[in-house]
Amino acid sequence: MKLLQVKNLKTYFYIDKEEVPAVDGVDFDINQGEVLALIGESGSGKSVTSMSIMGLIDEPGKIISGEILFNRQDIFEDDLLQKSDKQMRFLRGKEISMIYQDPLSSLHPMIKVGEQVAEALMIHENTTKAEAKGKAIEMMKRVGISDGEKRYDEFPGQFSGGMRQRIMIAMAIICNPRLLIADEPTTALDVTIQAEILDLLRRLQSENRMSMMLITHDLGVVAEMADRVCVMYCGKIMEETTNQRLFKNPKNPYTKGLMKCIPRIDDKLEYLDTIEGYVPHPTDFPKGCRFSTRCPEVMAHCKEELPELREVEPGHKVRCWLYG
Amino acid sequence: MINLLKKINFPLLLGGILVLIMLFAYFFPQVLTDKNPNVEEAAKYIEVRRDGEWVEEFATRPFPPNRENIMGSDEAGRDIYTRIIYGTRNTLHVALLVVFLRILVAMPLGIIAGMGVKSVSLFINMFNTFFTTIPKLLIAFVILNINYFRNLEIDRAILAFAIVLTVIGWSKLASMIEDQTALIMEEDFIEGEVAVGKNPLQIGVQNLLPHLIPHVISFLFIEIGMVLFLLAQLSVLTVFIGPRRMPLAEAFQGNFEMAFEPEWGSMLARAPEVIRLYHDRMWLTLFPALAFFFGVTAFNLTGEGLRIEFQKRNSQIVSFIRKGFFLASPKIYWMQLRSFKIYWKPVLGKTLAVLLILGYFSYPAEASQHFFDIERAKTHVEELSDEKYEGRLVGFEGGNKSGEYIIDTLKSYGLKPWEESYTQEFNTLDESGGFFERLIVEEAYIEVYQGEDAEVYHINEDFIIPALHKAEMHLEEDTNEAGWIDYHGKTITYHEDHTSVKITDEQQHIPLIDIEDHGDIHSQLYVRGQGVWAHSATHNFPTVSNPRGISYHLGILNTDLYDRELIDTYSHNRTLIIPFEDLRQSLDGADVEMALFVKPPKLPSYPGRNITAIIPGENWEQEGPRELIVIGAPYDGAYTGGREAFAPAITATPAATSLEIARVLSAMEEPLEKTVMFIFWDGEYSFYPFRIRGSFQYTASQRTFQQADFPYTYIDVGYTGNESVDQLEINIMHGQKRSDTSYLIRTSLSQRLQELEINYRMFDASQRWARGSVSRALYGMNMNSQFSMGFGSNYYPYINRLEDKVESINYEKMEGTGQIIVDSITMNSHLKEPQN
Amino acid sequence: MNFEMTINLMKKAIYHILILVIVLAVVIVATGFPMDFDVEYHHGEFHWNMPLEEIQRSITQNFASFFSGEVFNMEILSTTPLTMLRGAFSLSFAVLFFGTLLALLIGIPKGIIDSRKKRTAGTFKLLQTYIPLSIPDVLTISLIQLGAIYLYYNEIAFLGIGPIHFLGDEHWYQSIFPIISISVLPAAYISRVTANTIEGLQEKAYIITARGKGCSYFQILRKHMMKNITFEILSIFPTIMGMMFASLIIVERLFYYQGMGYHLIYIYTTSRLSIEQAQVVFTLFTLTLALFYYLIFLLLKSLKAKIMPKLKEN
Repeated sequence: MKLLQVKNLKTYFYIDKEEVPAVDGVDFDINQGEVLALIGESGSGKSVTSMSIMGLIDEPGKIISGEILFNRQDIFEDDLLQKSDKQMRFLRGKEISMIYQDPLSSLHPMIKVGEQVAEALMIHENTTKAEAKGKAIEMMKRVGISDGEKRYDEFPGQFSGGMRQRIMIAMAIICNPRLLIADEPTTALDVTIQAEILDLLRRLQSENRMSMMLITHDLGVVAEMADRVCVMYCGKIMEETTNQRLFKNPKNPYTKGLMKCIPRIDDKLEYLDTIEGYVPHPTDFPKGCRFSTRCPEVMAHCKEELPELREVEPGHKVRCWLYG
Repeated sequence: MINLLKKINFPLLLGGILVLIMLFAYFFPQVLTDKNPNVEEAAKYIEVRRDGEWVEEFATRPFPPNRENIMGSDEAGRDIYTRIIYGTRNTLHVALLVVFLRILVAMPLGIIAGMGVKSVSLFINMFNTFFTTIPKLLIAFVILNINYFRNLEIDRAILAFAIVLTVIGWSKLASMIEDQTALIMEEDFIEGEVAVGKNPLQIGVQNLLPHLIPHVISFLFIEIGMVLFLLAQLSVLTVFIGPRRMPLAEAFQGNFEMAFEPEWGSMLARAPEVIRLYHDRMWLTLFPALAFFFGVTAFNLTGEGLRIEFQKRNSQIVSFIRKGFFLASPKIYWMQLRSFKIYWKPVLGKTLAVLLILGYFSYPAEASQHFFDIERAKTHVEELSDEKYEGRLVGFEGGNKSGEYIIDTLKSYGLKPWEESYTQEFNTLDESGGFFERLIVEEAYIEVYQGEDAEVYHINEDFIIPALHKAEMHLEEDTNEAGWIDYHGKTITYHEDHTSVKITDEQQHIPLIDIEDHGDIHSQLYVRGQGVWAHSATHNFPTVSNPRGISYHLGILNTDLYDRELIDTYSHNRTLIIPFEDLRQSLDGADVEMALFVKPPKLPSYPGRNITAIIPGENWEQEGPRELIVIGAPYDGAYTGGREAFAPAITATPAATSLEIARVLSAMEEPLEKTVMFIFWDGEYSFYPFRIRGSFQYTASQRTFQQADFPYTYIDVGYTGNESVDQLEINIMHGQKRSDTSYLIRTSLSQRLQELEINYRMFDASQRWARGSVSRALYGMNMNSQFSMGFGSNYYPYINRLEDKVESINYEKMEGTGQIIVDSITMNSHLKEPQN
Repeated sequence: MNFEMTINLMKKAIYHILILVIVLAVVIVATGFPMDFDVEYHHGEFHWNMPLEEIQRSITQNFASFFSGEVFNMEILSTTPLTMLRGAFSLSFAVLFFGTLLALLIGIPKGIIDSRKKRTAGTFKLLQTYIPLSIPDVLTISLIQLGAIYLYYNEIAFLGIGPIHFLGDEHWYQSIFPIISISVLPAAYISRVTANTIEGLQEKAYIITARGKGCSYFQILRKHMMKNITFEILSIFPTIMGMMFASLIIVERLFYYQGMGYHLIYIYTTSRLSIEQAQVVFTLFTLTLALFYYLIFLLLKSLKAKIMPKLKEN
């Protein structure tokens, strides 16, 4: 069952009289209980997409068109983009939650950790403070912070990076949201901690039957966690498919290029592979396919016309002239 | 359009416009107002709006806002709007100077502290804590309330205020700079510089300063705003710059002083009283307060605008400033110079710019059109100091001869007499046998008896007689057989507490009196004796009486002041002797027998003569009031006849200067518009009473013209001292017929003095504590003048002393005096052009 | 641990007391400087009108009269300095305290309002933040007094408080105008600091987190931003206090409100007190001012520390 349907989302930023199309017509779906990974380089529009879903886009950004249909328990196909901020507030933290990249700056340094965890409860549910505290401590235990009672009263500065991320996770899922958006949750962490956090996320995701939208640039994370993957480049989705097919049979040249960049242990390479060229500036997108300036398989037509995202196999969509 | 509006940095724009307006008022006040800031109007018809129409009303000062005085006038009747415009200069001067000095102190200290030197940081902190604990306002008030500061004239006051306010307030700026420096130092690129191996100084100059300067610039502007704020507060507490005086308006109504110079702070000084008593005169404080608001806002907005600008990433202004630095960098210039072929354009451009700037600053001020020849003036000094004039004592032959010399000289220059005669005579002898007539004692001697021996001491070698009992002047009967007036007696020491001493024996007793140095001897006498205007009973000479019932009034003043100083003899109600060294020793102690023999003194046989001459100007022939410039100089001195060691020249300097000025002006090809009148005063070198003085005689009873017909500006030429005092004292006074241009004359005068590089000090003599020594002629002539200026004081420590010689006169100063007077008459347009 | 903390605490206490003593001593020296000191320019030279010994004597005298307690019992104008102080202090304290309160009450909400409106740097709206900062207190007071005069002469009363005379201090309600006058500038500063803090925080990641949890704007303000705002206001408070002390002098002077500021100036300019009397009273008042400021300063410091707890431990 589809939990979230994003249709033709366009979020543009208006800076210094220029129009920056950060998210330029993005479509994808997330099913119930599924983990969708959104990968791409920096600046491809991944975070903006997630913020658009949450309704946290501020000036100078603006969502100019699109639909985000969310399957709420009571209202099916609720278009989030039509909601006022007040209405969105009901959903944030309760139905849709988000965890962020840098747990240090994303937690308030002067408020007790436990209170921050319990906050969503206090907002969305009719509980007493004591009850909320209890639940928060429980939640903290669940994410792997023992000593919950004691650590409830401590401040973020007193925790290590991995612990902080756990707190953030606890904070995000305490109201049992149906969709968790994780924006580069492990980027700021050590590799060993990364693994722990990913484990935790997977566990929680299955325990709560939560859908997850995982934003990352790390293909390793994708391999571990994702059910399905969307590849973004310059604000557009280049390829959408399952995890397996992505690694086995990438179709879009961009995706292929990404794969090649990751060296395998049995590769006998002297040089690391890269993708030639640079990501074009948002104000300076090439006519036609946005990857045309760097594509090793570029054709004349690619520079003229932007290809559409088409399903070339069941469950595998590609945006490329190579495939019709 | 809205987007464009959003992009404009409004605070900077608005602030910049306001600052420009203020600068305009600073440089071109005449454009913004056509009135004079110091003209006081007492009462007039004003037009005010009533029910939408202009209605004429009669009003006395202070005038409410009306058609002519858009902001009304102050209590002295001076237009407030004009005073605000002209005051911009003075007020901004203080504010800018304060901030400039504060930056000088705060910048290095702040940078050093920010770069990590803890002790400096602590120092700044301490200062800050202290000055927040006790409000700066209070401390500034306490210090600047000292009378000395209150009475400084405006240029010095500005400097003094600036120094005081800098010392009090530098620390806030320093701590802001310190914080900003610390912030910049924490940036990663600094670490890089350290890693590269630069020492702190290099880092400071190359890396820190470019980032710091923009912030400092915005701090600067905000600081100016803060200083203006403080100045407003201080002035409410009546601390402001500039001299004060009692305005004629309120002289009988209230006992307060008003500021003379236009300056914003001074206009607020009456705020508490205005609010309390005259709440329907709010315009008196409202407009000056608004002016301050304008000023503070202007600088604050500009500062904040700059700060915002510097935070912008792609600020055009920042890149503009950076480019400016690049353009002005000498290093880049040097490099461009070396690659001249490629960079010839910028090199040429920069060189040209530098030359232009240098040229502008070193452009000489307008040269004097007519030159005061100091050599000629010196010959006059030499002539008048010659022995043959015996010091030019008024009423005696020497004085008379010197007058002849002056008249002859003036004639040789072609000056005309006022009406018929060059001289105006007055009596030097008071028939009623009054006090303080001048006398010359030619012969006298003292015998001191030691047992059988008598030591003889002669006048002018061993002692002098500054006062001779008036009776001795005329009566032959008092002389003994040989024709001498004689006194015999015994000395006694005198205590201040005794007002009379009764002696039992028949001897006359002569008191030995120690006197302190509180000014010249004659004022001592005046105060201590029973002069015509008898005053203090505390300083009387004792009356010594003996059984014969005769009171003898002979006293000996024990002082060593007059061994080296020339002093005249006057008639008095007692005879006084001042002995020199040897005689003092002989008379030391009490009970010394002595006798004094005096030949009857010579009395003045000539009248005192004021010499007047004119150089007719263009207006000489016209109908109606003709404006004059009157130049007055005293030419008499103290009698040197008896004491040949003395050849004083200082008293000759005014006449010498004036004569040379006369020559210069008479030699001009084009006549002046105003007629110039020269008066040489006789009898000025007497101290009391004024009736013998030439200027008094003139002003009291013998004016040669009616003021109504001849409105005049008076210039007094005072003494030029010797090398030790090289600052020219200038006293400005405003006469009763105050003209509109007097303020502007003054400012032009100050400017010219600076152009001529004369070291001067200007006093506004109408302030209560007149600091300059003002000549009495100046006082007298000022009464009915439009405007009066006195150059040079009438007091010098060296007048008539042994050191007072022709060679020791400060001729440079004399030249400056002469030249500034000539320039003022020939070049100062406000002075030389008649009003009508 | 506890021992260390106690030592630390004691060190701090001693440090602060030392500073206080130094400040008070400096005050006594400075106010001991003879009030009739003057420099005269006489015949081309500068003279002090009193020799150095005289100045020293005056200063030591000042110390003596304070330590001996004589100052409290001296009779001045049929009252003692202490009584004068008490009266003046309570008047000034009322103005300062309520002025601060009013400034906070106006400043913080205004700051919040200012920050709400969407703005980019340098807009027209900014002007209205900066212009109130530039109003000299003289102007503020003049305008308020104009208003007060108008009310008084038109016999307008509020809430049963009869027409308030715009000068003097006999009735409690006459402190209303001074309180309003003294609160304007601090309110402007407080609102600016509040607005700046809020704006600075909007971008912070943890604010976005809070929004992501569904916090409303007010919840964010209250729970997440308030601490920062309080901290910033406390940081700027010494500056504001300095400003208020200076303004106090002007306000009291212009309203003829006989608090500490009024007296300080009065002592300096009146001839009803002898030089010695004036000196003593001036010193007493200045000392009280310094002490008062310092105590508040310490209070603020400890408040600040409470809000930022345990961050120092890391």
